[in-house]
Amino acid sequence: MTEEIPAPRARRPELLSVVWRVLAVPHTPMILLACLAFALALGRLVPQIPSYARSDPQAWLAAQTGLFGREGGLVPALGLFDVYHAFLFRGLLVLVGLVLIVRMADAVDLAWRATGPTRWSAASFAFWAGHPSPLRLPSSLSPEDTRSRLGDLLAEAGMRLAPVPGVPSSTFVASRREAVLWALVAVYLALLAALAGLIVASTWGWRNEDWQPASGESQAVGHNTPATLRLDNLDLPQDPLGKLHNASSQITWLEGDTPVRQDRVYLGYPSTRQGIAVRQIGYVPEVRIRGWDEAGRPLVLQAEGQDVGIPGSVAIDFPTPQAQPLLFLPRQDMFLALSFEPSCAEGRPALYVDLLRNGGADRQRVQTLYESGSAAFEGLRLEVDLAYRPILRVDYRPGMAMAIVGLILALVSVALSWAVVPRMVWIAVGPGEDTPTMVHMLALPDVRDRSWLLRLARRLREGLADDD
Amino acid sequence: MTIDAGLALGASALLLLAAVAQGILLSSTRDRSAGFRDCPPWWGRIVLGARLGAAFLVAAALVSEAVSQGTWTPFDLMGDISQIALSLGLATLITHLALIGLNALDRAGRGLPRWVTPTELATDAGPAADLSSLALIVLAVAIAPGAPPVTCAQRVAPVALQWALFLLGGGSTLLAGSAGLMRTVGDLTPRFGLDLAIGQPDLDSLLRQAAALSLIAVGGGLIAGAYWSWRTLGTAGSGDPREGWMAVTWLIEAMSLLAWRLQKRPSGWAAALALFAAAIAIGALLAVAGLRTALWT
Repeated sequence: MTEEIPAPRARRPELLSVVWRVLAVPHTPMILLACLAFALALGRLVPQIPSYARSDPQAWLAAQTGLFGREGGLVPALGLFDVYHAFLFRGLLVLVGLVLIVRMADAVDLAWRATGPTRWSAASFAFWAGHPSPLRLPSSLSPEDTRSRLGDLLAEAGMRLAPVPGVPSSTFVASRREAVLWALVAVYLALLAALAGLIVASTWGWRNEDWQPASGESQAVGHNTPATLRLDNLDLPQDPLGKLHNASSQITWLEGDTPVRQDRVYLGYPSTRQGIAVRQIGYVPEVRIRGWDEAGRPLVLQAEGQDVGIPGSVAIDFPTPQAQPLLFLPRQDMFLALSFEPSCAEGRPALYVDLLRNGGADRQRVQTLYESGSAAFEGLRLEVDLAYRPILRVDYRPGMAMAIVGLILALVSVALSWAVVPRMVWIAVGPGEDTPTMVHMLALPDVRDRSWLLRLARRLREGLADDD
Repeated sequence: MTIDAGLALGASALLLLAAVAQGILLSSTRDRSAGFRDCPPWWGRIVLGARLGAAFLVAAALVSEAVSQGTWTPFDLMGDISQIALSLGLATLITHLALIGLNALDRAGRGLPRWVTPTELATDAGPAADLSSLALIVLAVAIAPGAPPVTCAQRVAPVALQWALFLLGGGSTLLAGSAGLMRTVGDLTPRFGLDLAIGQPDLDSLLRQAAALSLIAVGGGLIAGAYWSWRTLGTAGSGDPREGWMAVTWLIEAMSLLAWRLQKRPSGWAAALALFAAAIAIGALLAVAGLRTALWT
């Protein structure tokens, strides 16, 4: 075949051309994917600096213990506590983007030649050169008869023929479902959009500290914006059986003191204005406790974080729904632990009051409260006022929507190109050594199943043999 | 022993029987041109019957476990390691049985969708797939549940969809890994004077199809998870370690598919990477979730 189809002209290697070739070879994306997988695995094994600790990462690092902790020194020295924001990781993403651009350009070229007005030429043999050895079909017919017979057989197989001008021998490209090649272009384009979206979201986005407002409380939104957000109320609707339906917050967007929009946010359904989103990521109890001993004297209570106990009522904070704040009764030398279960749609939200013994090793449930009420134990009595506050998160992630849509489009395109396999084969008919004619068949290397090529070759071989 | 553990062990015994019968079939079928059809038909029936029975018993074990817990929702699949192992075993079996069904349809000369490749894959990757399912079920019986409870934000349709896709993708990954294992064994055994006569074109077909299905299903699961995390938390991921490990699985499966573009030993690389991806997937869904805790405490 090499004597029939002109080889690509030898050119002086140019830097851009060399870079392009390096990015185009299949080894490059494989190596990059391996690096990404390694980075993701590291990010899973080594705890990453959480967003709330970004203002003082050294304090967070100092608190780490265990195999790779501060004492080990290796992980902090390598900066593995912040893999996803490391320079190398970002460089890796940029390289992935470049590879996607190169592959998309190649895919566009291929799809355009297969379906557009620009048809195949002798120079486009470079597409196919260097690929696995072609299949060879000997034929005892003359080259002209073989070409004619092949045309009939391929037409029976539903394939379109496109001649390749400028080649000495009879050469053509047979294809079927070539329009699906554009799906591959869509895959690369969508992945590029997703990558760009992720980079934009992580570079330009911001997020406020989680906020637990009381009804009527307001807060400025974002940086240098006139917008203010106010919580009107938190709704915890229950059905007649007491099961909780969607916990939701009524909020108002304000410009200065002027309300501009009211909205309701609940889990998975944020309120968005000018790209800024307000999400309700949960809700926590707002607890106030007071107590009396057997003689009716007020108990001295000391909440976690307080230096001294005070007689009377004390407020207990739940920074997160999973938190289990402690309450100390100094005169009785007792510890109580409070925990909260939102209960989702299965029941009512519940507050548990547990008595801790033996340094916390034994835990005895004293009371389960679904609303304000009292708890009595060991001659003591507690009155618990129970209310709830939402946890609101305000953020601005300009690229996330593009990233998600890009990923969905990429997946749909991958599924399409997997389900509907485009078929394209380069066929050259020329004189053979032992037979009058030899047919060479070459298909592009592909990640999809190519058993169709073997079946097509068998069919053509049988078809040519029938005419012998 | 609980009822569900007994059912799972029964499924394990059937899978062992299927693997042994399939092994005997493979060793007796040295001429690939003769293939499965020239073997005594009752061997094939034993293999098929054992797999069907195992699939039924695994499904029954899941139902029994749900009944014994009093309540059951699809969300339990995320929180209970034994549930995950049983589900993954069932996903593998169902995928495998579906491929056997396609093969049977092909043999019967009925019409197949054009894009489905008729293949003998059900015979060649059989023992490895059966042994993978067997190992998962043994794990399910042996490992105590220990995953964190499901939070409110996870009790929603997108997360249920994410886990359904993860289980489908996990089953496909295991099948691709099984084909990769058999392919690797087929490549290695001639060096030791053995010839298992494994039909490589069929295995390659299984390797490609199962890996592609895995790529789509796991990718779909990752996207569903990312979408819901973005809606609820405003982040690209929920922080669930199993989700992160499935992303690693997805990347390695993508490498396995890209390996077919290599000029030197493409199928060998694809097989090895598919095998590696299957190992990561099992670890991701079952055991590795606790690895970081073990390292850091």
